Amino acid sequence: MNRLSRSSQPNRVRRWSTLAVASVAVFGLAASLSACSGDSGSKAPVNKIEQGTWPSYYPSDYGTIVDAAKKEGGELTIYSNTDQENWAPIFRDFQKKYPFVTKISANNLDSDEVFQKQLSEMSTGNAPADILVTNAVQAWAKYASEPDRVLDYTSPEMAKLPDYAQLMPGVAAMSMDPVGLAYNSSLLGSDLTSVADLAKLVQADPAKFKNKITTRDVSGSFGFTVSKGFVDGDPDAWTTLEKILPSARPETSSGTQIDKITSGEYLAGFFISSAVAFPQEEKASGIFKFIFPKDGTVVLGRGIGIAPKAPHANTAKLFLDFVLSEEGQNAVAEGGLTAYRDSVKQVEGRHTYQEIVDKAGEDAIIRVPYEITADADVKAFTDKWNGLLGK
Amino acid sequence: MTTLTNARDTAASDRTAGFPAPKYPRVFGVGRDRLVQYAVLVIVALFVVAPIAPILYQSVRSKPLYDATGVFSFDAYVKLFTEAGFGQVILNTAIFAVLTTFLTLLFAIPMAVLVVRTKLPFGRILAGSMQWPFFVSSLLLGFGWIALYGPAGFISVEVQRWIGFVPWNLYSIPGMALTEAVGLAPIAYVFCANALRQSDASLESAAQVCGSGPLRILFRIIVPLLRPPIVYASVLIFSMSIETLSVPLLYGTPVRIEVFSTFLYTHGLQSIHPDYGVLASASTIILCVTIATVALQAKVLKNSQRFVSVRGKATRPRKLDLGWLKWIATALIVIYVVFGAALPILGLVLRSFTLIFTPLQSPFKTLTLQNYQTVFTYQSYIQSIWNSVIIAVIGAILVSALAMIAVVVAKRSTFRFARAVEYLALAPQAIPGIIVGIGFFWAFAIMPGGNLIQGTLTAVIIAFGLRALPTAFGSISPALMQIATELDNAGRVVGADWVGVFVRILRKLLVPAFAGAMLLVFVTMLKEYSAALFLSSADSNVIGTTMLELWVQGNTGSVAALATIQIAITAVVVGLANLLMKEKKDA
Repeated sequence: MNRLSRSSQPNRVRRWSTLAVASVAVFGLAASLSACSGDSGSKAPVNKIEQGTWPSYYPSDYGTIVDAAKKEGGELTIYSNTDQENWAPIFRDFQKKYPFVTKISANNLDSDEVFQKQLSEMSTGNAPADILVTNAVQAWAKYASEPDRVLDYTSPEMAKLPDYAQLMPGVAAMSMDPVGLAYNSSLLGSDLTSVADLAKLVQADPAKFKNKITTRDVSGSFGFTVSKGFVDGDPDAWTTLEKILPSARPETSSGTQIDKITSGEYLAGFFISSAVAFPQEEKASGIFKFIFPKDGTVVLGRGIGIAPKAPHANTAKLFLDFVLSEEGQNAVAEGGLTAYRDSVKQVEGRHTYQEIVDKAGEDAIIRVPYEITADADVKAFTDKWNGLLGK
Repeated sequence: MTTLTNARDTAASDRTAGFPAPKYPRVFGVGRDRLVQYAVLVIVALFVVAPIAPILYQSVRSKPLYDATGVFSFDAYVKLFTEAGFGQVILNTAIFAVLTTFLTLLFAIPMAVLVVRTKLPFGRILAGSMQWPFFVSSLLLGFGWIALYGPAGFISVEVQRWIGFVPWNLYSIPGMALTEAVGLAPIAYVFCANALRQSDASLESAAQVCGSGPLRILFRIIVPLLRPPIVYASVLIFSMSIETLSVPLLYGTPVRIEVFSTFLYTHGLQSIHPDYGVLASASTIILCVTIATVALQAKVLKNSQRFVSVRGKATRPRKLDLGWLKWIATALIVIYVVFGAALPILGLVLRSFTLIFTPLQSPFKTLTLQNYQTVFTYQSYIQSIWNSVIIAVIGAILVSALAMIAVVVAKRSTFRFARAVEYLALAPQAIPGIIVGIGFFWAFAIMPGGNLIQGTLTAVIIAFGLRALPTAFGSISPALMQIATELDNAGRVVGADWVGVFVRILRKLLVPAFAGAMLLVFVTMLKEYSAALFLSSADSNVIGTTMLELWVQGNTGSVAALATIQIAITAVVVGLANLLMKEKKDA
């Protein structure tokens, strides 16, 4: 810090001018870049939100919930493992429908942390969360299996939704998000339609695939849920996996998986969340390809429930109903999650449950049940899976 | 410490002989010296004990703390040690930590000596660039290294084309240690460089008079005098590499090399059925290991008088001339800086301007600003950048001030609990960030009035501050040890009390070290994130947590964009700080 060489005045001036030149160059680059990244133009229609009206199948006294909500101060706190991008259109449209809601804070936590935080705060008697949202099946099942963990509220929208929309008592599905198989199309050389296809390729040329396949780490909760779902839903799964896993390496997030498939470190990988893979397919067209395997496409419901002592319980009810409504489901799709209400149409850049059914086939769909897996079963499964992985 | 007591006695007898002793206000019959010292002890103790106590308690409870039905049990410890493969985890961690510490010192010491004490071409530029990796969190350095040297990295692909194979394997313990060492070397460098700038030129002159050449002076005088900063740096780096998560997570998971931190992460936080008891008991064990290393450090530096080099007589260190050797030295440093730090960081910056980054396609084909647009579209992402800056600025001032007073109490007082202050100030380095977060979360929940702090920026500042305290302490302490006690004694002789000596003499001499500590703390707090994972709320997110969010979504481009913004903020602050300090020097 106490440098010995003293800088003279001109020296300092020169340094500032270098800085100026450099920053001008950077801004120039920025300007030219923004010029070429023109908006490709979204073809999706603007989501129409009707204020103050509800569908005919809502109870006649629905207005009382709205009135009660107005008295709650227009705030809503959500604990979720869902990203800001996914939330943005949902919040925007919800606030359009109920303009008295002025502040929605959505904490983005780890899938299990949502409940750890909620439980800790409930025990200290100061729990600010109104709504809990996560797709961590095991964590939800464990949390909501105890009494008084979620508010007992059934949305009037349930009548219009498929029966799998009710994941557990008091827990509804906000979206039905699939996981799939991704591969590097420029390095792999052939197209895949299923995990079994990949197994055949690996068997034909084991040397090419050594350490070149990535799976999701099954000791993590997401990896466990989707991998176990696949194995439970497809009777031939272990035969297929026995061929693939010795060449595979585990990763802890879909983000890492898609990045390394794009770079060529891996040739293929499963099970990758569609919300992460779809945008990458668009960005890296010609290199990165994402499919729903025909021998088993696992679909995870994203559970949404209201906290038992929610400070803004009525606003929370309005929010839950809205998310499940047609308007809300359109917003869910716009945010990048997978809407499952029949009436939501698939347009460019938005994804629906029907689209997965069309691509993978009705039989291939595996919906993961919201049930606790016993510790012994967890251990048996992870030991078997990890035992097959290459060392 | 003995000299100090003597000095006091001498001073006292002097006073009785000559002038009357100056009057200082006394509260309840206790001098203000003791009051200040006790205040420091209490603050530091509260600071450290608050998050540790809930963890220790958790480690002997059968259920999570919020569950009142839990009972006392050692099950968590039993489970930890019976968990399959835990022996391997300990072994991996030990190899990784020792190798990282060794490599860090191997990079940092020669470079600090060469840059600060010898005449090197472009010395100033080299000195600056040596510190770059410190501005980037090791998570990002890891991304950068994988993009270049990973199995499908840009450089690996090129090397493969030339010689047919890749002669290294990044996904291994040496690979992890090398990356981590590049990331941590700046800490050791700064410690050593600060000490070298103040080293006593009279010793070198004496050697020169006796006929020693520059090389001999280097190895017989300059390097041995570096022992305090080296010991501090190694202890700090050793414990940092025990608890570091990002690099082992990035490199180790695919090849299933597990170390302590990834074990905690996968078995605790990411687990299918998380077990907070195991988390807490594992943290307790790390705590014991680190306390042992700190004790070792104290033993090694017991005779600290030997390293005194700033005495009452001012000297000016001269730079040694190494002759032709300096060109080899320069070349080595340049290679290190370019391949270790510059290329990975440049790659990161380039990454932020492209849609996809792969050796399969020229990155210039998909140039874009979209990554920055994503960051600046969402209010909460912008907020997180502001939050980080506010936290780092406030934290830097408060933590450095506390650290400076703590150092003086620990090293320059007859305070009975001086040692305790030192141990407490260094203890946080033993607590993994996530644990600090959970611990404070609980502390605020139990504490009266804690609700007001919970989830706010203040909570994050406190947690990050605790994490940064050892760094600040470690960077100020060696500087103080170089200041001879004769200066204190002189102050005492003319009647200043302990506080007076600190305010009038030591404070001024410690200004460079204080400024250095502030910078270190600022940068540490700007890139820190693990403690915020549990503590921050929607309104108090920081850059690091936002990056993690974006990374998990697969939005790597925006992660790089945020990283670039973070590097830019750091560069501006560090640049301004250097300018200001130089101005002061010139004046």
